Amino acid sequence: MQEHTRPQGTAPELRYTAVPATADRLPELRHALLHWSQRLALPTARVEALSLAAYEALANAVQHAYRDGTGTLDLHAVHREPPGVVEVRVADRGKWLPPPAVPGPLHGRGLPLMRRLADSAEVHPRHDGTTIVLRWNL
Amino acid sequence: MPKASAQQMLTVGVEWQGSTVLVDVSGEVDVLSASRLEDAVAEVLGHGPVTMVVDLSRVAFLASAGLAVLVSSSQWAGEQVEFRVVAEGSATGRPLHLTGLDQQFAVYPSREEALNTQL
Repeated sequence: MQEHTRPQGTAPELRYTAVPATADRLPELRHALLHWSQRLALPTARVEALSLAAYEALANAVQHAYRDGTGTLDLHAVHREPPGVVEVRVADRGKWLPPPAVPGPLHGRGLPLMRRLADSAEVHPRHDGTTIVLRWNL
Repeated sequence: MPKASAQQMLTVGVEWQGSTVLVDVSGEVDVLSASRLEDAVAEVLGHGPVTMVVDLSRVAFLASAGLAVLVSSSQWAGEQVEFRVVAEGSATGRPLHLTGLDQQFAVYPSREEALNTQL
């Protein structure tokens, strides 16, 4: 796993590349994002929203992207100023499993939660994977 | 970076007060740890409580995997068991509210209220 926290003027970024897409790797990624967003001096509610929404995006990659359970994901968080935007991208290289025809009561809260926690939450399917882009306007 | 083990991340305590059972959860409820909460609730329900209070006051992180456990817990509780959740802070209150689950089952702001409110 490669980690870069490279300040770009006032826009530090956090990048993890080719992390095994397994549930046991998610806590450390979430904590890294948490520390990263705390350094931006965002309000606590924003930090919590970012941490939870990003976790849900990561969990989606872990749970939906790889049929055989092996694969990797990338996490990229960037703060751009001006205009004051925080963007979190989670990319996998798998194919999301189709959702069940009738959504059960127990699942499917990840995406709605992301949409409510972030100012925008987009799912971009690519031919070789899926990217979730979460954005907050500061 | 030190890797937190699942053991450190979530603890579930069970305390019976007569026919009421308090499930005291602390730590982080995520994809990895949610099944441990589910197992604990299933076991408790097997003993036939009248009221089950799941106290999330000391939960610092609640992901949708944990929300799913609360939904299945309330379904297992059914009509037989009075199912109550305590969510004090925004880490738990916010995801419960944003997904509308605070309308699906009873969410209380404190353990005392959850234990003492008579319906």
